[in-house]
Amino acid sequence: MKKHARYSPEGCIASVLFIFLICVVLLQIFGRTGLFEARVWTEELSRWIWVWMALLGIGEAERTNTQLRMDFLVVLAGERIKSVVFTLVDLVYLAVVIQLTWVGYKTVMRTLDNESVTLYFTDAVLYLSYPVASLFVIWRVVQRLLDVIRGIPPYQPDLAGEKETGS
Amino acid sequence: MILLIICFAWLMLVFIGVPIGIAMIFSSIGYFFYSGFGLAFAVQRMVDGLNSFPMLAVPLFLLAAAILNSAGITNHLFGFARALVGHVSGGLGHVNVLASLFFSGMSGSAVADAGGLGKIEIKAMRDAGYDDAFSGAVTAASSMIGPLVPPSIIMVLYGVISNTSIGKLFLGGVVPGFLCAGALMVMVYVLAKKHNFPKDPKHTRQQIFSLFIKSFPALLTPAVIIGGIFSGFFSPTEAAAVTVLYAIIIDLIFYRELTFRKFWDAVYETMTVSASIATIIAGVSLLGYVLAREQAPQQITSLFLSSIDSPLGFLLAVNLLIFVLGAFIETLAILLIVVPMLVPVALGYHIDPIHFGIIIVLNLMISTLTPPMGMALFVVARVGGIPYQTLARAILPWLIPPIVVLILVSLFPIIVTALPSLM
Repeated sequence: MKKHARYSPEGCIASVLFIFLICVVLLQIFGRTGLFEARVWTEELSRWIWVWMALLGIGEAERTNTQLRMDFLVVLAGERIKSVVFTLVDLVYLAVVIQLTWVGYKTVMRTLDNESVTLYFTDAVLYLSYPVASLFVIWRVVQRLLDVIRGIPPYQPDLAGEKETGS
Repeated sequence: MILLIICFAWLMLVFIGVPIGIAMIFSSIGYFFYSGFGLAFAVQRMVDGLNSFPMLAVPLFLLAAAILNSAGITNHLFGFARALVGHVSGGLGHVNVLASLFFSGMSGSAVADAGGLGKIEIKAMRDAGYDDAFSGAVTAASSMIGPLVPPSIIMVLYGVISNTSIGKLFLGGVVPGFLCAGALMVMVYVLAKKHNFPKDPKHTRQQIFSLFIKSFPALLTPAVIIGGIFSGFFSPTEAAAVTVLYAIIIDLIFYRELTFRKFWDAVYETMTVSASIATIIAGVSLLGYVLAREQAPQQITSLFLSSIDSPLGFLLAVNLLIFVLGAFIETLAILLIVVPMLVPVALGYHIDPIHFGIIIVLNLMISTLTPPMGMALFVVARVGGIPYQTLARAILPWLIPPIVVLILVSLFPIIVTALPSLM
């Protein structure tokens, strides 16, 4: 049976960004105490890192099937119906994500000349997060569809029930 | 009519198992195509919806809770709570509630409480001879205290969507949180007397003091958060980053259980969970635009104002609405879709937004306990190895204490507003 990897490239990049995000927010706080020189760009940079981290992380959430969903009705309907419904949903999802990746690319082009408020680069860097993250999502959804064709069972997290939500 | 079709389409997609955030994106895109708007600004709206500084508090508070769980700090809190109230009738039931109250000062998530503390609590209760139904039900019920006592992820999100002070919301939740803990302990006491549950031998003062010293750095976390926010030293979002740093520092100095591998796994898991929350936020940004175009908030406001003439009647209607929705729809989805439409109506009735926010949070936390879609029930069933059906039946009487508190909080705003008004 195929063994699913514990970590993924997009998950590792997003996790490193998360650690970087904590450092930037802490730099913002300590910048006000006089210990370091205060930086005006920390708030905008932390927001941008969060957007990149969150969007890249969606690829990992797709790979590990940890998107928040309520599947009790299809589970009641049986494994076969569940598999058919989820495959159809994935096909629609794939079409929507491909379309949105193209829209995301056009958004990047449209915002190329917009300068950010406090950072030294263009707003397009922020919006680039979407098409880049979408490519990972496309990869993961295609992988999931291929797994269905090959009869490979979907990823099961070790302790899925322990995953936290905002609740 | 279009509004009803959008809502129906979203609900249908959610019920067939489409992830909640993706279902919002699907229904919004369907609307864009139907209306002929195209998708030109769809991506920009989703990215802009996430591009918010207060929103950063969500992953950071989640990470703080994950680190506290990974570092084994929950064990020390449980040990201290057991020394304090383990000898009372229904001992471990009280310990369960008290440990959740302690943990709530460090974590903003009910699910973090149920998943982290839940494992320890259910094992201890099983070993002491408590039945699974009681152990699971009290563990799930006590986890709802987490988001009421600061910090609270749900309050951060409510603060963002309603433009309300997150610091004041944090303070507003303190008294209702303690009331819930008290009400649950009364319930434990009544059931313990009825079923003659076991109790621990009494600890000596030295033992209690020694356990207190071990737990003290962790117990200090809420003081750091609230003190920092209200002294103006940092914002709620920055407080979340400080909580992460504080959790790491107290582990390095006092507990020494957090390895780099555990830290990395905590970061990795929190990142994944945050991404699934981000999908919902991105979906809400799109759906929110659609609802605003269709003037949904205005329609709902006029519907309420024309049919209900008192603030109390409105609160009753909102409580019933969220209670019913909460049994079927995930908490975050209700908070991010339904609540933004209700806040302007509440302001129309001159209801204090802090008071309204705490009512919403309390009600949403009750919804984590209501079957069939009680998130806390799923987690406790999983970590405790208890059949879901057993837990879904056992939890029903445990809904009474928080509902009583919800009624009190709805009737007497002072319970919520007293503390924030001091600041």
